[in-house]
Amino acid sequence: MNLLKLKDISKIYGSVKALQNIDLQVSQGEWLAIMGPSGSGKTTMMNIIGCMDKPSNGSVVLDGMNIAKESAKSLTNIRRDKIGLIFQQFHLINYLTALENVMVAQYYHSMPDEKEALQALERVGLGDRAKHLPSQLSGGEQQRVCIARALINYPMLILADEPTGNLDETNEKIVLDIFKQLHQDGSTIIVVTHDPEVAEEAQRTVVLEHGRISRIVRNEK
Amino acid sequence: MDNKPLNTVNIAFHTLKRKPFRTTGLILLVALFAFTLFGGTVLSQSMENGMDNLSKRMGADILAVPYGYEADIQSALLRGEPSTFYFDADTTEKVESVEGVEAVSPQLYIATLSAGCCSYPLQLIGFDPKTDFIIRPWMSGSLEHSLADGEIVIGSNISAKVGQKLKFFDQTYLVAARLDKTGMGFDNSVFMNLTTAKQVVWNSERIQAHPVAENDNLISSVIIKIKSGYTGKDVANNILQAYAKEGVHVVVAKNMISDISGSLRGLTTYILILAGVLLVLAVGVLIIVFSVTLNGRKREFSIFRVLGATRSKLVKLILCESCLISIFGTAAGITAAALVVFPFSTYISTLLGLPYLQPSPGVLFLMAALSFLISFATGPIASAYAAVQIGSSEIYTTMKEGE
Repeated sequence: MNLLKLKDISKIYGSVKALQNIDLQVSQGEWLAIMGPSGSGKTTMMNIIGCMDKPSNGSVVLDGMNIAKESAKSLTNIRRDKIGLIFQQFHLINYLTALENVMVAQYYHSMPDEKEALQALERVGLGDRAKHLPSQLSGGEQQRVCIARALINYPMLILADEPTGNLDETNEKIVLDIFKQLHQDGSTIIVVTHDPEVAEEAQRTVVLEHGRISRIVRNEK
Repeated sequence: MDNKPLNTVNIAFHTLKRKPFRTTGLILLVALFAFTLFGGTVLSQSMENGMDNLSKRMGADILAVPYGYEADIQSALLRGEPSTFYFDADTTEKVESVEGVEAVSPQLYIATLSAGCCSYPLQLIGFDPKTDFIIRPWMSGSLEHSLADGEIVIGSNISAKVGQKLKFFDQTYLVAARLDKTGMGFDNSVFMNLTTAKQVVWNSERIQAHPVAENDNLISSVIIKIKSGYTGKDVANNILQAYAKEGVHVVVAKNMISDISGSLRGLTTYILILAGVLLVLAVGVLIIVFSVTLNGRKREFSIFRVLGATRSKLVKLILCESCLISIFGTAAGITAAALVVFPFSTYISTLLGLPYLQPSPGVLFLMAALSFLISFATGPIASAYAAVQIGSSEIYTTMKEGE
């Protein structure tokens, strides 16, 4: 069953065609990697899938709803309810503790539950770092807080933009192990990455070039 | 934020705590406005009350005083400043005979000393209970019997109780009554009949020479009531024409009140202008600071948006921050104004040289509430523009800009 269906998607900024005629389907529980050089349209595609932007043409059906036609307010609600976002730069609120950074996602979703937020941190191995500020955490730990925050509202799609781009090898492995576990648990994951080793962990890799899908690779692992 | 629920107010508190200098500066600015607004309103209202009371209680239409002492009688009436000036007591009969004069009554002013002989340095006013028509009516509420020799009635600012004895020139006098607050110089004066006043003068002679002790036939002023159909100006001219050469001068009560009203209007206008300038300054600075600050916090707001915060929730957060600044600033400003204006009201009234009568607690509460509302509104009004600006930028682009 398809969770996400992109049909003939284009995104045009003035004279720049960031995406052209993209067709893509992502099944529920699938782990998909999106690769491509800088300027290939990865971020634009992520913005559109993540309800942070709308395509110029085409339809984006997420969980049966064409989000390409939704209002900005409705997109915020869809993003909040259905999508968990993970970023290369973590994007934590620097004056909130790890626990509060997770709880803030709960607050804007429904209501904060400290116990549940703590469990989410324990799930990524940070139960003992809950009261630390982002500045007191390593890059890998901050990324794990970001993952805990993305998972806290039980999203149907996890969308990660270069999740290991700022991490050393050890932390990269920890994060990928978490992704593997999430995948085994049935989560649908889309990872935008430059790193072929990260992409290889996914079931399929979509390669973008000049705003078009140049090829789709089914990974052996 | 440990052990506190995570909500908009709590996040706003965190944001404010993060920039203590900026937050303190903004709070102080709002506090300055609230201080000026509340303090200024209380001052001008108190002076207006004092003015009303002066008009009501003045009683006399004209005051006859020795030439050159017009300002002194005003100081004595408005501020209770100890004054000593004298002319012949037969001025009373002379003035009474002038056309348009209905009633007259003499008064004798004696200044006590700031020395061991006297409880306080203040103005003693001797009056003739038989002819007086301005002091007795005020006393009727406080004193049931006519004022006996050796008895005194004190103004509301004099710290003594009824039944207590006050010492002037080493002689004690029984406090028979205490007057209600008038906002005028009478609050700092002591009243007695002429016999007692002359007794005080004779006692003072042991310490210093006194003209009244040398010449029993002296008074300080004559209070004059005019007949209906005459104007104060006309009767004053009649008196001057007849007795100016004998050193008698006049102060027309209406003119004096009108002069004071003019000064009061000037002061009230100044206070209003100051409050207006501070309001514009406070709102202007807050608008600039909020706009600049929010511009620097675009990334933070984008993260909140990504996490599902609607634009209205972010607006709520901004307004919450500005409301907190307003609440703390307003509370601090009003408290500071209350701490300055109320305990030092006597000093302020002396400094201003205008009649000063503080409004009732109910009116003061209402003024505080209104000042609070106006001052509190500055924060939300100033942040409204900045608040509507947020959310207009592309969420993810803004987040990426910080990378």
